[in-house]
Amino acid sequence: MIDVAQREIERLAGVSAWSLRRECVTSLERFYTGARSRMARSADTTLLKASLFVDSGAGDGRQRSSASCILHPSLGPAELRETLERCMAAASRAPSPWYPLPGPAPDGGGAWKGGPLLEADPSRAMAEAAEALLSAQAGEDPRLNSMELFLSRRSVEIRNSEGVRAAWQNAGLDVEYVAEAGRNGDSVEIFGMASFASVEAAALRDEASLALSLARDRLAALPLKGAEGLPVLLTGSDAVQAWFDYFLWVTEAMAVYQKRSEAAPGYRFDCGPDGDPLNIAFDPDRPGRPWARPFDDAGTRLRPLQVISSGEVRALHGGLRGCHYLGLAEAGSYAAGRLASMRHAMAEVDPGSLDEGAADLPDCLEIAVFSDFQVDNDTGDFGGEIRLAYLRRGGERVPLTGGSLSGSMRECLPGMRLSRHMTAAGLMRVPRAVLIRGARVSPA
Amino acid sequence: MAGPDARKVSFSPYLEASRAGARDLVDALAGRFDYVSLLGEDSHGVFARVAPGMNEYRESDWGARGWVLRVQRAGRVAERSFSTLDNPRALAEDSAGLLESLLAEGTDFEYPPLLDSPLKLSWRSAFAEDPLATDPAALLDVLAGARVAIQSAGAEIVYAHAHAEFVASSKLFVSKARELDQALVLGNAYAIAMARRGEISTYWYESTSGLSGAEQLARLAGLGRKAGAAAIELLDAGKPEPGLTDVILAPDVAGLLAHEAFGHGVETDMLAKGRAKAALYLGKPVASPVVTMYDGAAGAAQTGSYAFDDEGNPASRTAVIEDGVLRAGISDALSAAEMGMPLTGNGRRQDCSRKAYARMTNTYFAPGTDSLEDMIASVESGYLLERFSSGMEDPKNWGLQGIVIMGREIKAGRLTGRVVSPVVISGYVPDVLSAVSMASTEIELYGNGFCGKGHKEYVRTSMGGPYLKTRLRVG
Repeated sequence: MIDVAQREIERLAGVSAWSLRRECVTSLERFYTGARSRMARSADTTLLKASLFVDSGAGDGRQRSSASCILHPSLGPAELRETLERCMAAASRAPSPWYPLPGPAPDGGGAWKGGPLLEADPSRAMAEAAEALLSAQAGEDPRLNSMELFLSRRSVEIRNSEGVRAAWQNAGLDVEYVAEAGRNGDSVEIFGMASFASVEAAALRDEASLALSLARDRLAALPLKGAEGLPVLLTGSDAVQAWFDYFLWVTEAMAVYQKRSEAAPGYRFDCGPDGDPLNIAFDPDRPGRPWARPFDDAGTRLRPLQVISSGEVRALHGGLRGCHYLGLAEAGSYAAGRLASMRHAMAEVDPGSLDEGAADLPDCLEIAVFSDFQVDNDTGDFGGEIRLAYLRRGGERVPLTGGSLSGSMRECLPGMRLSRHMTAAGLMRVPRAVLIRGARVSPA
Repeated sequence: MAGPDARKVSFSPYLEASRAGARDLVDALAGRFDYVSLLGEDSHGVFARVAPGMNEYRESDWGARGWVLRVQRAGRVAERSFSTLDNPRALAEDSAGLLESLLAEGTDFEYPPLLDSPLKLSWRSAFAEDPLATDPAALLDVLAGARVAIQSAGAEIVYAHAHAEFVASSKLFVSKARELDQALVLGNAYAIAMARRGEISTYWYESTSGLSGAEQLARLAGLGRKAGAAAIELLDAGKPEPGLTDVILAPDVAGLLAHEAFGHGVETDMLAKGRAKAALYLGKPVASPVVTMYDGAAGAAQTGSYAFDDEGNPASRTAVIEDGVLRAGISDALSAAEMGMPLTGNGRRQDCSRKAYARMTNTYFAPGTDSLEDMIASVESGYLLERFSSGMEDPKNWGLQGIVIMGREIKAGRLTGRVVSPVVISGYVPDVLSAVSMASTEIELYGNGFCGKGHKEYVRTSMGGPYLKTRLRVG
């Protein structure tokens, strides 16, 4: 259908530029309670989107206007033509300062394929993944209350009027799970989600084992008190991911152009003389990364990109439009993944000097699980309710629950220290822990 | 709400043309499975935005067209999602083999027989101005006006943005005994302001929403002025005094409490997994007698409204809490069958390619008898909390968390003029609801957000209530 759509677009009068993006997804899904699968699903979907652009004016006053539409596979020839004509009529009505579309990558696109799951037998892979997760249970308690497994294969093709002809396939396993621990009729749970490029039994078992141990600790936790004023050690992957995601939000070209962010190239994040240097890069080519892809949604070739080096912004990233408005070279948008929380993918944050497991770690409140840790990317304020923390004092590690954390990036960056150990958080690779000072802890 | 000039939404010509094929597919599979149903969706819409350097007009991300087939045999349930219904007979053959294999290898749980009592239903919502037929330039002009209104608040506004999104959604449900169709138009719009002074940045939004068309944009310029003024006011915000304190929740924050505190906790699929504490409290007091809380697609005309859910069950209004007593859960078809609970029409999918779960629709507290002035006068020391930023449920342990953008300080029964931001609110749900002592007479619903199951499966919902006075922990 993409060929037919392209032909129809090229017949339309007045189109200055166009792009087409088709995504076909095949997935197998299972929904478990305990070890029993309550439902199995299969999904085959195709989404073809067309964007039409109309230029007007000249010189500094040159403008570009656009509109987009979905071309469903069920559209007949007349309906397809009608949909594109409607889109064309709208396309000249939303003028913005002119910006280009991506051109073809010098190395073309080729038939890029990512991930061993493209070749795996889906049903067997799914069964193996479930078995690996369930193998983390040593007995009846703690246990996995429920889990959802999604094994998806994605095939994407992008074309535009500037000559982009990009296509790739990738595959991944997304897992959502709930670990539960109980005693005397009372029980607690820990929620988690993760993505994998392959069915690695050990990695899946480790993921579930960690959740089970956190559930057991949450059950034993005391109400959080006596931690006011202590440094905070963030160790939960959700919070660590959200923490580093902030730096990627504020270095998006459009955010800087629109003055939502001041982090233009040359801007320095003040980590202070005692803090670890902050280095963040995108690395789409790293092997084994789930949902890696060679192009962004507009067809820009994604390449390794150093965004922040020793706290200084070296390069912005994001769509070509924002980069063009700022007079920068195109970088690309590195978002990926099925799960909404995985906004910035393929990012790598350098490790720091902190050994969070060391016995001589200063007294601190280690927060392992929030109900939902949020960073406001516009203001830099952050906060969340604490579901599991550990008061680390004098070599002891006492589990606590309840209360909340709040603070601002501006106040907590100076002196920030990063773990020397790395972990996967969402689709990023990041230091396993972040030590900050200046955040407010409210007791339970 | 659409006014007296309202027109009914048109049903999708594509789904109408597919109706016979949908029936053929269901009939062809009916002899091979105990239960067969097919849901088709055809949704399309517009997203328009005016921001610095950007006029944007594009298809809404909620645009979708597709089908999902559900079967049950010997208790086991499987589904297949697909994009086209071109050749129903061939599709039936292909689907039968695939679904049999999913039932045999992919599932080992047996549900009671799914309900398929005879039902025919056809429903259309109404609107005054068709947002999909509105000239894009005119729509963008309204948004640009809102943006100007935001900027008029002062020179400290560094970012102003307005956007609107409207969706026309049609659904067709066919089973052995049922044939249902519905078409609706809904939408929402935002005015977003960001202010900066030195290193301090602040953010505020105002929004409008409804089961209605472009007529709801008439409010947007006024909302823009409010957004700009609030963002500038926040530049002088202090930090809240941490601890347990009296608070008055504005209607949107009351809605957050309804949604996160008890909405998720009474989703019956959570009860079926043993993930919700509410199962132990049905018929027992969980809140003060001032508290009555509803959920229901038929309970309000907002963005969580429809006539039947994505499993072919009619919408309703459920009294979740009545005079402080926990009365009922909200159900999807599978967990209702498993637990022998009533069907409430809350089985919802993000789109036809996704599974249905028990989900909220329009969730809100009922009004009370107090005035806001009396409520403020009754507070010795506390905050009036306005505009939620985010929230997360904890149905297993009844923990409550939310982030609110602004707290207005109250001392000795008066607003002092001092504001604090942000305010992290937390507490134990029964404690917070048992402490509700006053509720105002008017309720307001906000359909400007999405609800996730965990961190995915987003559906449109609305939530709200009156001003509520309670006591919770702020940080």
